[in-house]
Amino acid sequence: MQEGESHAAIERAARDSYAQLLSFVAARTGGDVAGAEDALGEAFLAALRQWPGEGVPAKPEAWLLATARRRLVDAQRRSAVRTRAMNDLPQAFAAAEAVVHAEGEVPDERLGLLFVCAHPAIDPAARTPLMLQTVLGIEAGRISSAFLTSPASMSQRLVRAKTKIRAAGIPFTVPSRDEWPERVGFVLDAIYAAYTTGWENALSELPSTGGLAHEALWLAQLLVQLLPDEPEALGLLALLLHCQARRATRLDAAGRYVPLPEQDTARWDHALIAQAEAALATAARHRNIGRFQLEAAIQSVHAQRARTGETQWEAIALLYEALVQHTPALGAQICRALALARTCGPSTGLAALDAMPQDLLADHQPYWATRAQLLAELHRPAEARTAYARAMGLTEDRAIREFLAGRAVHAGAGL
Amino acid sequence: MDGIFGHSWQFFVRIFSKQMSKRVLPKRHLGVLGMNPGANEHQSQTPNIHMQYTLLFAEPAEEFAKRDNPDLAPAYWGAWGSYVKAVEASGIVVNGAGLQPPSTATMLRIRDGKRQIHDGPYPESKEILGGFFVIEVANLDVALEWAAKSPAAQSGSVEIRPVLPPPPNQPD
Repeated sequence: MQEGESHAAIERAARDSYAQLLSFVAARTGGDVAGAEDALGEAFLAALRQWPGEGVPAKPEAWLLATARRRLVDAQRRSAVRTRAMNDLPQAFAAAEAVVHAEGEVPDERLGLLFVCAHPAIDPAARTPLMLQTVLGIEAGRISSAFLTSPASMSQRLVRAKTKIRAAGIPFTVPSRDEWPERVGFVLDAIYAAYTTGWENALSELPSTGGLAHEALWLAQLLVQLLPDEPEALGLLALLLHCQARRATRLDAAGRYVPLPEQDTARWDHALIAQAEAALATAARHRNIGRFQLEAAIQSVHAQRARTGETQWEAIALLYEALVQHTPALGAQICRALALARTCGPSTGLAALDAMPQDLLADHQPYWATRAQLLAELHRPAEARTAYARAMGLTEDRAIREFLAGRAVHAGAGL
Repeated sequence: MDGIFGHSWQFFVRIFSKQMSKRVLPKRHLGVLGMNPGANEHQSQTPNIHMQYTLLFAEPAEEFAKRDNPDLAPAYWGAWGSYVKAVEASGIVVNGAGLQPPSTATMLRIRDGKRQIHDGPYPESKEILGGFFVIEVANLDVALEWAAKSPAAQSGSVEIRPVLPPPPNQPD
Protein backbone atom coordinates (compact mmCIF):
# COMPACT_ATOMS: atom_id res chain seq x y z
CA MET A 1 0.00 0.00 0.00
CA GLN A 2 1.33 3.43 -0.88
CA GLU A 3 2.05 6.05 1.76
CA GLY A 4 -0.80 8.29 0.57
CA GLU A 5 -3.34 5.48 0.46
CA SER A 6 -2.71 4.28 3.98
CA HIS A 7 -2.91 7.87 5.20
CA ALA A 8 -6.39 8.09 3.68
CA ALA A 9 -7.37 4.80 5.31
CA ILE A 10 -6.10 6.01 8.69
CA GLU A 11 -7.97 9.27 8.32
CA ARG A 12 -11.13 7.40 7.42
CA ALA A 13 -10.74 5.16 10.49
CA ALA A 14 -10.44 8.26 12.68
CA ARG A 15 -13.55 9.82 11.12
CA ASP A 16 -15.52 6.57 11.45
CA SER A 17 -14.68 6.13 15.13
CA TYR A 18 -15.34 9.78 15.91
CA ALA A 19 -18.75 9.67 14.25
CA GLN A 20 -19.70 6.42 15.95
CA LEU A 21 -18.83 7.88 19.34
CA LEU A 22 -20.59 11.14 18.51
CA SER A 23 -23.79 9.30 17.55
CA PHE A 24 -23.65 7.13 20.68
CA VAL A 25 -23.01 10.02 23.08
CA ALA A 26 -25.38 12.53 21.45
CA ALA A 27 -28.24 10.02 21.50
CA ARG A 28 -27.75 9.57 25.25
CA THR A 29 -27.65 13.28 26.14
CA GLY A 30 -31.09 14.20 24.83
CA GLY A 31 -29.68 14.99 21.39
CA ASP A 32 -26.92 17.36 22.49
CA VAL A 33 -24.83 17.10 19.31
CA ALA A 34 -22.91 20.31 20.04
CA GLY A 35 -22.05 19.09 23.53
CA ALA A 36 -20.83 15.76 22.20
CA GLU A 37 -18.79 17.56 19.51
CA ASP A 38 -17.23 19.77 22.18
CA ALA A 39 -16.36 16.76 24.30
CA LEU A 40 -14.93 14.68 21.45
CA GLY A 41 -13.63 17.32 19.03
CA GLU A 42 -10.13 17.78 20.37
CA ALA A 43 -9.59 14.05 20.76
CA PHE A 44 -10.64 13.68 17.12
CA LEU A 45 -8.16 16.33 15.98
CA ALA A 46 -5.46 14.64 18.04
CA ALA A 47 -6.27 11.35 16.30
CA LEU A 48 -5.97 12.99 12.87
CA ARG A 49 -2.57 14.33 13.89
CA GLN A 50 -1.12 11.32 15.70
CA TRP A 51 -2.55 8.18 14.08
CA PRO A 52 -0.83 8.64 10.67
CA GLY A 53 2.50 8.38 12.47
CA GLU A 54 1.57 5.85 15.16
CA GLY A 55 -0.96 3.78 13.19
CA VAL A 56 -4.62 3.26 14.07
CA PRO A 57 -4.87 2.03 17.68
CA ALA A 58 -6.17 -1.50 18.29
CA LYS A 59 -9.23 0.04 20.01
CA PRO A 60 -9.73 3.42 18.31
CA GLU A 61 -12.81 4.37 20.28
CA ALA A 62 -11.11 3.60 23.59
CA TRP A 63 -8.27 5.88 22.51
CA LEU A 64 -10.67 8.72 21.63
CA LEU A 65 -12.63 8.31 24.85
CA ALA A 66 -9.51 8.32 27.02
CA THR A 67 -8.22 11.43 25.29
CA ALA A 68 -11.62 13.13 25.54
CA ARG A 69 -12.13 12.09 29.17
CA ARG A 70 -9.39 14.38 30.44
CA ARG A 71 -10.91 17.38 28.71
CA LEU A 72 -14.37 16.57 29.99
CA VAL A 73 -13.20 16.42 33.59
CA ASP A 74 -11.38 19.75 33.19
CA ALA A 75 -14.41 21.44 31.63
CA GLN A 76 -16.70 20.28 34.39
CA ARG A 77 -14.37 21.48 37.11
CA ARG A 78 -14.20 24.91 35.51
CA SER A 79 -17.91 25.37 35.00
CA ALA A 80 -19.89 26.87 37.86
CA VAL A 81 -23.38 26.04 36.66
CA ARG A 82 -24.51 22.45 36.22
CA THR A 83 -27.01 22.29 33.44
CA ARG A 84 -28.93 19.16 32.63
CA ALA A 85 -26.62 18.57 29.69
CA MET A 86 -23.58 18.58 31.94
CA ASN A 87 -25.21 15.92 34.05
CA ASP A 88 -25.99 13.77 31.03
CA LEU A 89 -22.60 13.98 29.32
CA PRO A 90 -20.53 12.19 31.96
CA GLN A 91 -23.21 9.50 32.14
CA ALA A 92 -23.17 9.06 28.36
CA PHE A 93 -19.38 8.94 28.42
CA ALA A 94 -19.41 6.34 31.16
CA ALA A 95 -21.88 4.28 29.12
CA ALA A 96 -19.60 4.51 26.09
CA GLU A 97 -16.57 3.53 28.15
CA ALA A 98 -18.45 0.58 29.62
CA VAL A 99 -19.47 -0.69 26.19
CA VAL A 100 -15.99 -0.22 24.75
CA HIS A 101 -14.48 -2.01 27.74
CA ALA A 102 -16.85 -4.94 27.29
CA GLU A 103 -17.11 -5.15 23.49
CA GLY A 104 -14.05 -3.28 22.22
CA GLU A 105 -16.17 -0.76 20.32
CA VAL A 106 -19.47 1.11 20.45
CA PRO A 107 -22.38 -0.16 18.36
CA ASP A 108 -22.63 1.77 15.10
CA GLU A 109 -25.48 4.25 15.63
CA ARG A 110 -24.60 6.50 12.73
CA LEU A 111 -27.85 5.54 11.00
CA GLY A 112 -29.82 7.28 13.77
CA LEU A 113 -27.58 10.33 13.35
CA LEU A 114 -28.17 10.36 9.58
CA PHE A 115 -31.92 10.31 10.12
CA VAL A 116 -31.63 13.14 12.65
CA CYS A 117 -29.64 15.30 10.23
CA ALA A 118 -32.30 14.77 7.56
CA HIS A 119 -35.33 15.07 9.87
CA PRO A 120 -38.19 17.12 8.34
CA ALA A 121 -38.01 19.51 11.31
CA ILE A 122 -34.45 20.48 10.35
CA ASP A 123 -33.99 23.36 7.90
CA PRO A 124 -33.38 21.71 4.49
CA ALA A 125 -30.39 24.00 3.91
CA ALA A 126 -28.78 22.64 7.07
CA ARG A 127 -29.23 18.91 6.44
CA THR A 128 -26.30 18.26 4.12
CA PRO A 129 -23.86 20.48 6.06
CA LEU A 130 -24.91 18.78 9.32
CA MET A 131 -24.30 15.33 7.85
CA LEU A 132 -20.88 16.31 6.57
CA GLN A 133 -19.88 17.80 9.90
CA THR A 134 -21.22 15.13 12.23
CA VAL A 135 -21.08 11.89 10.25
CA LEU A 136 -17.84 12.56 8.40
CA GLY A 137 -16.18 15.07 10.73
CA ILE A 138 -15.55 17.46 7.82
CA GLU A 139 -14.38 20.81 9.09
CA ALA A 140 -16.82 23.70 8.92
CA GLY A 141 -14.64 25.97 6.77
CA ARG A 142 -14.46 23.38 4.03
CA ILE A 143 -18.24 22.92 4.14
CA SER A 144 -18.93 26.66 3.94
CA SER A 145 -16.63 27.12 0.96
CA ALA A 146 -18.20 24.18 -0.89
CA PHE A 147 -21.63 25.73 -0.36
CA LEU A 148 -20.37 29.17 -1.32
CA THR A 149 -21.48 30.69 1.98
CA SER A 150 -19.45 32.66 4.47
CA PRO A 151 -18.07 30.64 7.39
CA ALA A 152 -20.13 32.86 9.72
CA SER A 153 -23.46 32.14 8.05
CA MET A 154 -22.75 28.41 7.73
CA SER A 155 -21.73 28.32 11.37
CA GLN A 156 -24.99 30.04 12.35
CA ARG A 157 -26.98 27.55 10.28
CA LEU A 158 -25.26 24.60 11.95
CA VAL A 159 -25.67 26.02 15.45
CA ARG A 160 -29.36 26.65 14.86
CA ALA A 161 -29.86 23.10 13.58
CA LYS A 162 -28.08 21.52 16.54
CA THR A 163 -30.06 23.70 18.95
CA LYS A 164 -33.25 22.57 17.24
CA ILE A 165 -32.28 18.89 17.62
CA ARG A 166 -31.79 19.29 21.35
CA ALA A 167 -34.53 21.79 22.16
CA ALA A 168 -37.25 20.15 20.10
CA GLY A 169 -36.31 16.63 21.14
CA ILE A 170 -35.65 15.15 17.71
CA PRO A 171 -35.11 11.46 18.44
CA PHE A 172 -32.12 9.41 17.29
CA THR A 173 -34.29 6.59 16.10
CA VAL A 174 -34.84 4.77 12.87
CA PRO A 175 -38.26 5.85 11.49
CA SER A 176 -41.33 3.65 11.49
CA ARG A 177 -42.51 1.64 8.49
CA ASP A 178 -45.10 4.23 7.39
CA GLU A 179 -42.66 7.10 7.37
CA TRP A 180 -39.80 5.08 5.95
CA PRO A 181 -39.94 6.00 2.22
CA GLU A 182 -40.25 9.70 2.96
CA ARG A 183 -37.60 9.80 5.69
CA VAL A 184 -35.10 7.71 3.72
CA GLY A 185 -35.86 10.04 0.81
CA PHE A 186 -34.70 13.03 2.87
CA VAL A 187 -31.45 11.28 3.76
CA LEU A 188 -30.84 10.38 0.11
CA ASP A 189 -31.65 13.93 -1.03
CA ALA A 190 -29.15 15.35 1.44
CA ILE A 191 -26.39 13.01 0.27
CA TYR A 192 -27.22 13.74 -3.37
CA ALA A 193 -27.04 17.48 -2.59
CA ALA A 194 -23.52 16.95 -1.26
CA TYR A 195 -22.53 15.45 -4.60
CA THR A 196 -24.10 18.12 -6.76
CA THR A 197 -22.82 20.99 -4.60
CA GLY A 198 -19.62 22.29 -6.02
CA TRP A 199 -20.09 20.09 -9.10
CA GLU A 200 -19.44 23.05 -11.26
CA ASN A 201 -16.94 24.63 -8.85
CA ALA A 202 -14.78 21.56 -8.90
CA LEU A 203 -14.49 21.48 -12.63
CA SER A 204 -14.39 24.99 -13.92
CA GLU A 205 -12.26 26.44 -11.14
CA LEU A 206 -9.13 25.10 -9.46
CA PRO A 207 -9.57 21.51 -8.35
CA SER A 208 -8.49 22.37 -4.83
CA THR A 209 -11.52 24.54 -4.15
CA GLY A 210 -13.49 21.55 -5.31
CA GLY A 211 -16.78 20.11 -4.31
CA LEU A 212 -17.67 17.30 -2.01
CA ALA A 213 -17.92 14.44 -4.49
CA HIS A 214 -15.72 12.05 -2.52
CA GLU A 215 -17.52 12.87 0.69
CA ALA A 216 -20.89 12.32 -0.98
CA LEU A 217 -19.73 8.97 -2.34
CA TRP A 218 -18.50 8.03 1.09
CA LEU A 219 -21.89 8.90 2.65
CA ALA A 220 -23.68 6.92 -0.08
CA GLN A 221 -21.45 3.91 0.55
CA LEU A 222 -21.95 4.24 4.30
CA LEU A 223 -25.71 4.31 3.85
CA VAL A 224 -25.60 1.11 1.78
CA GLN A 225 -23.46 -0.46 4.50
CA LEU A 226 -25.99 0.60 7.18
CA LEU A 227 -29.08 -0.26 5.06
CA PRO A 228 -27.93 -3.14 2.88
CA ASP A 229 -31.49 -4.08 1.91
CA GLU A 230 -32.75 -0.63 0.95
CA PRO A 231 -32.82 -0.49 -2.86
CA GLU A 232 -32.97 3.30 -3.03
CA ALA A 233 -29.69 3.55 -1.12
CA LEU A 234 -28.16 1.23 -3.72
CA GLY A 235 -29.78 3.33 -6.43
CA LEU A 236 -28.21 6.53 -5.11
CA LEU A 237 -24.79 4.89 -4.86
CA ALA A 238 -25.08 3.58 -8.43
CA LEU A 239 -26.12 7.04 -9.65
CA LEU A 240 -23.19 8.79 -7.97
CA LEU A 241 -20.71 6.17 -9.20
CA HIS A 242 -21.94 6.59 -12.78
CA CYS A 243 -21.60 10.36 -12.54
CA GLN A 244 -18.17 10.08 -10.98
CA ALA A 245 -17.03 7.64 -13.67
CA ARG A 246 -17.55 10.25 -16.37
CA ARG A 247 -16.31 13.25 -14.47
CA ALA A 248 -12.88 13.42 -16.07
CA THR A 249 -14.36 13.72 -19.54
CA ARG A 250 -16.72 16.56 -18.74
CA LEU A 251 -14.05 19.05 -19.74
CA ASP A 252 -11.52 18.57 -22.52
CA ALA A 253 -7.79 19.26 -22.22
CA ALA A 254 -8.41 22.94 -22.98
CA GLY A 255 -11.03 23.22 -20.23
CA ARG A 256 -13.96 23.31 -22.63
CA TYR A 257 -17.26 21.66 -21.65
CA VAL A 258 -17.99 18.40 -23.48
CA PRO A 259 -21.63 17.27 -23.52
CA LEU A 260 -22.36 13.63 -22.70
CA PRO A 261 -22.96 12.37 -26.26
CA GLU A 262 -19.51 13.67 -27.29
CA GLN A 263 -17.49 12.42 -24.31
CA ASP A 264 -14.59 10.07 -25.05
CA THR A 265 -15.86 6.83 -23.50
CA ALA A 266 -12.35 5.38 -23.35
CA ARG A 267 -11.56 7.95 -20.69
CA TRP A 268 -14.53 6.98 -18.51
CA ASP A 269 -13.59 5.17 -15.31
CA HIS A 270 -14.72 1.65 -16.12
CA ALA A 271 -13.97 0.30 -12.67
CA LEU A 272 -16.47 2.80 -11.23
CA ILE A 273 -18.99 1.89 -13.91
CA ALA A 274 -18.65 -1.76 -12.95
CA GLN A 275 -19.23 -0.88 -9.29
CA ALA A 276 -22.26 1.21 -10.28
CA GLU A 277 -23.71 -1.67 -12.28
CA ALA A 278 -23.17 -4.11 -9.43
CA ALA A 279 -25.01 -1.79 -7.02
CA LEU A 280 -27.86 -1.28 -9.47
CA ALA A 281 -28.17 -5.01 -10.17
CA THR A 282 -28.45 -5.63 -6.42
CA ALA A 283 -31.12 -2.94 -6.17
CA ALA A 284 -33.06 -4.49 -9.05
CA ARG A 285 -33.31 -7.80 -7.16
CA HIS A 286 -35.58 -6.11 -4.59
CA ARG A 287 -38.17 -5.40 -7.27
CA ASN A 288 -39.06 -2.11 -5.61
CA ILE A 289 -38.57 0.82 -7.96
CA GLY A 290 -37.80 4.28 -6.69
CA ARG A 291 -36.54 7.62 -7.91
CA PHE A 292 -32.82 7.06 -7.43
CA GLN A 293 -32.87 3.59 -9.00
CA LEU A 294 -34.54 5.09 -12.07
CA GLU A 295 -31.99 7.88 -12.28
CA ALA A 296 -29.19 5.34 -11.95
CA ALA A 297 -30.79 3.12 -14.62
CA ILE A 298 -30.84 6.08 -16.99
CA GLN A 299 -27.14 6.67 -16.37
CA SER A 300 -26.58 2.96 -16.91
CA VAL A 301 -28.10 3.25 -20.39
CA HIS A 302 -25.83 6.21 -21.16
CA ALA A 303 -22.83 4.22 -19.90
CA GLN A 304 -23.57 1.45 -22.35
CA ARG A 305 -22.43 3.68 -25.18
CA ALA A 306 -18.90 2.71 -24.11
CA ARG A 307 -19.53 -0.83 -25.31
CA THR A 308 -22.08 -0.52 -28.09
CA GLY A 309 -21.20 2.90 -29.47
CA GLU A 310 -24.88 3.80 -29.35
CA THR A 311 -27.36 5.33 -26.93
CA GLN A 312 -30.70 3.56 -26.56
CA TRP A 313 -32.94 6.57 -26.41
CA GLU A 314 -36.18 4.56 -26.33
CA ALA A 315 -35.13 2.99 -23.04
CA ILE A 316 -34.10 6.39 -21.72
CA ALA A 317 -37.43 7.93 -22.74
CA LEU A 318 -39.34 5.14 -20.99
CA LEU A 319 -37.24 5.46 -17.84
CA TYR A 320 -37.77 9.23 -17.75
CA GLU A 321 -41.49 8.61 -18.13
CA ALA A 322 -41.31 6.38 -15.05
CA LEU A 323 -39.21 8.94 -13.21
CA VAL A 324 -41.62 11.78 -13.93
CA GLN A 325 -44.43 9.67 -12.52
CA HIS A 326 -42.44 9.14 -9.33
CA THR A 327 -41.25 12.71 -8.87
CA PRO A 328 -42.60 15.36 -11.26
CA ALA A 329 -39.44 17.47 -10.80
CA LEU A 330 -38.74 20.00 -13.56
CA GLY A 331 -35.32 18.52 -14.34
CA ALA A 332 -36.80 15.09 -15.01
CA GLN A 333 -39.50 16.52 -17.27
CA ILE A 334 -36.92 18.45 -19.28
CA CYS A 335 -34.74 15.38 -19.72
CA ARG A 336 -37.80 13.44 -20.78
CA ALA A 337 -38.52 16.08 -23.41
CA LEU A 338 -34.99 15.69 -24.76
CA ALA A 339 -35.34 11.90 -24.84
CA LEU A 340 -38.62 12.29 -26.74
CA ALA A 341 -36.80 14.53 -29.20
CA ARG A 342 -34.25 11.79 -29.77
CA THR A 343 -36.87 9.10 -30.30
CA CYS A 344 -39.71 10.98 -32.01
CA GLY A 345 -38.01 14.06 -33.40
CA PRO A 346 -37.34 17.58 -32.09
CA SER A 347 -40.89 18.89 -32.55
CA THR A 348 -42.22 16.22 -30.17
CA GLY A 349 -39.55 17.25 -27.69
CA LEU A 350 -40.41 20.92 -28.06
CA ALA A 351 -44.09 20.16 -27.60
CA ALA A 352 -43.24 18.39 -24.33
CA LEU A 353 -41.35 21.50 -23.18
CA ASP A 354 -44.29 23.71 -24.16
CA ALA A 355 -46.60 21.54 -22.07
CA MET A 356 -44.63 22.28 -18.91
CA PRO A 357 -45.82 24.95 -16.43
CA GLN A 358 -44.21 28.01 -18.02
CA ASP A 359 -44.47 30.21 -14.95
CA LEU A 360 -41.99 28.00 -13.10
CA LEU A 361 -39.46 27.97 -15.91
CA ALA A 362 -38.52 31.62 -16.36
CA ASP A 363 -35.21 31.20 -14.50
CA HIS A 364 -34.61 27.52 -15.15
CA GLN A 365 -31.30 27.19 -16.98
CA PRO A 366 -31.68 23.57 -18.19
CA TYR A 367 -35.07 24.43 -19.67
CA TRP A 368 -33.67 27.25 -21.79
CA ALA A 369 -30.58 25.29 -22.83
CA THR A 370 -32.71 22.34 -23.94
CA ARG A 371 -35.25 24.57 -25.63
CA ALA A 372 -32.49 26.36 -27.51
CA GLN A 373 -31.03 23.10 -28.72
CA LEU A 374 -34.36 21.82 -30.03
CA LEU A 375 -35.17 25.11 -31.74
CA ALA A 376 -31.78 24.94 -33.47
CA GLU A 377 -32.53 21.39 -34.61
CA LEU A 378 -35.86 22.63 -35.98
CA HIS A 379 -34.00 25.25 -38.01
CA ARG A 380 -35.50 28.20 -36.16
CA PRO A 381 -32.27 30.16 -35.67
CA ALA A 382 -33.64 33.45 -34.35
CA GLU A 383 -35.66 31.77 -31.60
CA ALA A 384 -32.75 29.43 -30.87
CA ARG A 385 -30.37 32.36 -30.41
CA THR A 386 -32.82 34.07 -28.01
CA ALA A 387 -33.16 30.90 -25.99
CA TYR A 388 -29.37 30.40 -25.91
CA ALA A 389 -28.96 33.96 -24.66
CA ARG A 390 -31.54 33.30 -21.96
CA ALA A 391 -29.73 30.09 -20.93
CA MET A 392 -26.35 31.81 -20.86
CA GLY A 393 -27.73 34.55 -18.63
CA LEU A 394 -28.73 31.87 -16.14
CA THR A 395 -25.48 29.88 -16.30
CA GLU A 396 -22.94 30.40 -13.53
CA ASP A 397 -20.44 27.90 -14.90
CA ARG A 398 -17.96 29.58 -17.25
CA ALA A 399 -17.26 26.45 -19.30
CA ILE A 400 -20.95 25.80 -19.93
CA ARG A 401 -21.56 29.43 -20.78
CA GLU A 402 -18.83 29.34 -23.41
CA PHE A 403 -20.19 26.10 -24.77
CA LEU A 404 -23.67 27.61 -25.11
CA ALA A 405 -22.17 30.67 -26.78
CA GLY A 406 -20.52 28.41 -29.33
CA ARG A 407 -23.78 26.57 -29.95
CA ALA A 408 -25.61 29.87 -30.38
CA VAL A 409 -23.20 30.95 -33.10
CA HIS A 410 -23.65 27.55 -34.75
CA ALA A 411 -27.44 27.94 -34.60
CA GLY A 412 -27.24 31.42 -36.03
CA ALA A 413 -25.41 30.10 -39.07
CA GLY A 414 -28.60 28.10 -39.75
CA LEU A 415 -26.79 24.75 -39.71
CA MET B 1 -16.59 -5.98 -17.40
CA ASP B 2 -19.06 -7.56 -19.84
CA GLY B 3 -21.51 -10.24 -18.90
CA ILE B 4 -24.02 -9.19 -16.28
CA PHE B 5 -22.90 -5.59 -16.22
CA GLY B 6 -24.56 -3.01 -18.37
CA HIS B 7 -27.91 -4.78 -18.30
CA SER B 8 -29.30 -3.78 -14.90
CA TRP B 9 -31.33 -0.97 -16.43
CA GLN B 10 -33.30 -3.44 -18.51
CA PHE B 11 -35.08 -4.77 -15.42
CA PHE B 12 -36.44 -1.30 -14.68
CA VAL B 13 -37.62 -0.86 -18.27
CA ARG B 14 -39.43 -4.23 -18.12
CA ILE B 15 -41.13 -3.49 -14.81
CA PHE B 16 -42.20 -0.04 -15.88
CA SER B 17 -43.59 -1.26 -19.21
CA LYS B 18 -45.72 -3.78 -17.34
CA GLN B 19 -46.98 -1.07 -15.02
CA MET B 20 -47.75 1.28 -17.87
CA SER B 21 -50.01 -1.35 -19.38
CA LYS B 22 -51.72 -1.88 -16.04
CA ARG B 23 -51.84 1.89 -15.40
CA VAL B 24 -50.78 1.25 -11.85
CA LEU B 25 -48.40 3.50 -10.00
CA PRO B 26 -46.47 1.29 -7.60
CA LYS B 27 -46.68 2.02 -3.89
CA ARG B 28 -43.26 1.63 -2.38
CA HIS B 29 -43.14 -0.96 0.29
CA LEU B 30 -40.59 -1.12 3.00
CA GLY B 31 -37.53 -2.58 1.34
CA VAL B 32 -35.58 -3.30 4.47
CA LEU B 33 -35.38 -6.81 5.83
CA GLY B 34 -34.43 -7.66 9.32
CA MET B 35 -34.75 -4.09 10.50
CA ASN B 36 -37.13 -3.24 13.24
CA PRO B 37 -38.13 0.32 12.50
CA GLY B 38 -40.04 2.19 15.14
CA ALA B 39 -39.29 -0.50 17.70
CA ASN B 40 -38.14 2.24 19.99
CA GLU B 41 -35.09 0.23 20.88
CA HIS B 42 -33.42 3.55 21.43
CA GLN B 43 -35.96 4.62 24.05
CA SER B 44 -33.65 3.08 26.63
CA GLN B 45 -30.87 5.42 25.58
CA THR B 46 -32.32 8.41 27.42
CA PRO B 47 -34.53 6.92 30.14
CA ASN B 48 -36.74 9.20 32.22
CA ILE B 49 -36.39 12.08 29.81
CA HIS B 50 -39.80 13.13 28.66
CA MET B 51 -40.45 16.37 26.89
CA GLN B 52 -43.33 18.76 27.12
CA TYR B 53 -44.71 20.31 23.98
CA THR B 54 -47.42 22.86 23.40
CA LEU B 55 -49.60 22.12 20.39
CA LEU B 56 -51.27 25.27 19.09
CA PHE B 57 -54.17 24.57 16.79
CA ALA B 58 -54.87 27.17 14.11
CA GLU B 59 -57.71 27.06 11.64
CA PRO B 60 -58.67 29.17 8.61
CA ALA B 61 -61.56 31.57 9.20
CA GLU B 62 -64.08 29.47 7.23
CA GLU B 63 -63.30 26.47 9.38
CA PHE B 64 -63.56 28.42 12.63
CA ALA B 65 -66.86 29.89 11.47
CA LYS B 66 -68.40 26.42 11.52
CA ARG B 67 -68.65 26.78 15.30
CA ASP B 68 -71.49 29.27 14.80
CA ASN B 69 -73.22 27.47 11.96
CA PRO B 70 -75.96 25.21 13.33
CA ASP B 71 -75.76 22.90 10.29
CA LEU B 72 -71.97 22.54 10.35
CA ALA B 73 -71.27 22.89 14.07
CA PRO B 74 -72.12 19.29 15.09
CA ALA B 75 -69.60 17.80 12.69
CA TYR B 76 -67.01 20.42 13.68
CA TRP B 77 -67.37 19.75 17.40
CA GLY B 78 -67.72 16.04 16.78
CA ALA B 79 -64.29 15.92 15.12
CA TRP B 80 -62.68 17.96 17.88
CA GLY B 81 -64.47 15.95 20.56
CA SER B 82 -63.08 12.67 19.21
CA TYR B 83 -59.59 14.09 19.09
CA VAL B 84 -59.74 15.55 22.60
CA LYS B 85 -61.05 12.23 23.97
CA ALA B 86 -58.20 10.34 22.32
CA VAL B 87 -55.53 12.71 23.61
CA GLU B 88 -56.92 12.68 27.14
CA ALA B 89 -57.28 8.89 27.13
CA SER B 90 -53.60 8.53 26.23
CA GLY B 91 -52.55 10.12 29.53
CA ILE B 92 -50.19 12.62 27.90
CA VAL B 93 -52.11 15.82 28.65
CA VAL B 94 -50.57 18.35 31.02
CA ASN B 95 -53.05 21.10 30.22
CA GLY B 96 -55.34 22.25 27.44
CA ALA B 97 -58.26 24.43 26.49
CA GLY B 98 -60.44 25.42 23.60
CA LEU B 99 -60.40 29.17 23.09
CA GLN B 100 -63.20 31.67 22.60
CA PRO B 101 -63.39 33.40 19.22
CA PRO B 102 -60.74 35.92 18.11
CA SER B 103 -63.20 38.78 18.55
CA THR B 104 -62.79 38.24 22.28
CA ALA B 105 -59.00 38.44 22.06
CA THR B 106 -56.83 41.32 23.15
CA MET B 107 -53.26 41.80 21.98
CA LEU B 108 -50.61 43.58 23.96
CA ARG B 109 -47.29 44.95 22.82
CA ILE B 110 -44.89 47.37 24.40
CA ARG B 111 -43.01 49.66 22.00
CA ASP B 112 -40.87 52.58 23.03
CA GLY B 113 -41.92 52.00 26.61
CA LYS B 114 -45.59 52.41 25.73
CA ARG B 115 -48.24 49.73 25.99
CA GLN B 116 -50.10 49.07 22.73
CA ILE B 117 -53.35 47.25 23.23
CA HIS B 118 -55.15 45.91 20.18
CA ASP B 119 -58.65 44.54 20.03
CA GLY B 120 -58.70 41.10 18.42
CA PRO B 121 -55.70 39.37 16.82
CA TYR B 122 -53.34 41.20 14.46
CA PRO B 123 -54.79 41.39 10.94
CA GLU B 124 -51.72 39.75 9.27
CA SER B 125 -52.51 36.39 10.80
CA LYS B 126 -54.77 34.51 8.42
CA GLU B 127 -55.36 31.55 10.68
CA ILE B 128 -57.22 31.63 13.95
CA LEU B 129 -55.87 30.05 17.09
CA GLY B 130 -58.63 27.74 18.28
CA GLY B 131 -57.11 25.83 21.17
CA PHE B 132 -54.04 24.18 22.60
CA PHE B 133 -52.77 21.17 24.46
CA VAL B 134 -49.67 20.87 26.58
CA ILE B 135 -48.58 17.24 26.34
CA GLU B 136 -45.78 15.22 27.83
CA VAL B 137 -44.27 12.64 25.45
CA ALA B 138 -40.91 11.07 24.71
CA ASN B 139 -39.77 13.12 21.73
CA LEU B 140 -40.71 15.33 18.79
CA ASP B 141 -41.81 12.46 16.58
CA VAL B 142 -44.42 11.37 19.11
CA ALA B 143 -45.63 14.98 19.46
CA LEU B 144 -45.84 15.21 15.65
CA GLU B 145 -47.95 12.05 15.56
CA TRP B 146 -50.47 13.57 17.97
CA ALA B 147 -50.48 16.91 16.14
CA ALA B 148 -51.16 15.07 12.89
CA LYS B 149 -54.30 13.48 14.33
CA SER B 150 -55.96 16.83 15.09
CA PRO B 151 -58.65 18.34 12.84
CA ALA B 152 -56.56 21.52 12.60
CA ALA B 153 -53.79 19.56 10.84
CA GLN B 154 -56.20 18.91 7.96
CA SER B 155 -57.78 22.35 7.62
CA GLY B 156 -55.17 24.70 9.09
CA SER B 157 -51.90 24.16 10.89
CA VAL B 158 -50.49 23.05 14.20
CA GLU B 159 -47.49 24.65 15.81
CA ILE B 160 -45.46 22.29 17.99
CA ARG B 161 -43.32 24.23 20.39
CA PRO B 162 -41.24 22.67 23.16
CA VAL B 163 -42.03 24.01 26.62
CA LEU B 164 -39.16 25.70 28.42
CA PRO B 165 -37.35 23.34 30.75
CA PRO B 166 -37.08 24.42 34.40
CA PRO B 167 -34.11 26.72 35.04
CA PRO B 168 -30.78 24.99 35.92
CA ASN B 169 -29.99 24.37 39.58
CA GLN B 170 -27.63 26.83 41.09
CA PRO B 171 -24.99 25.38 43.40
CA ASP B 172 -24.99 26.75 46.95
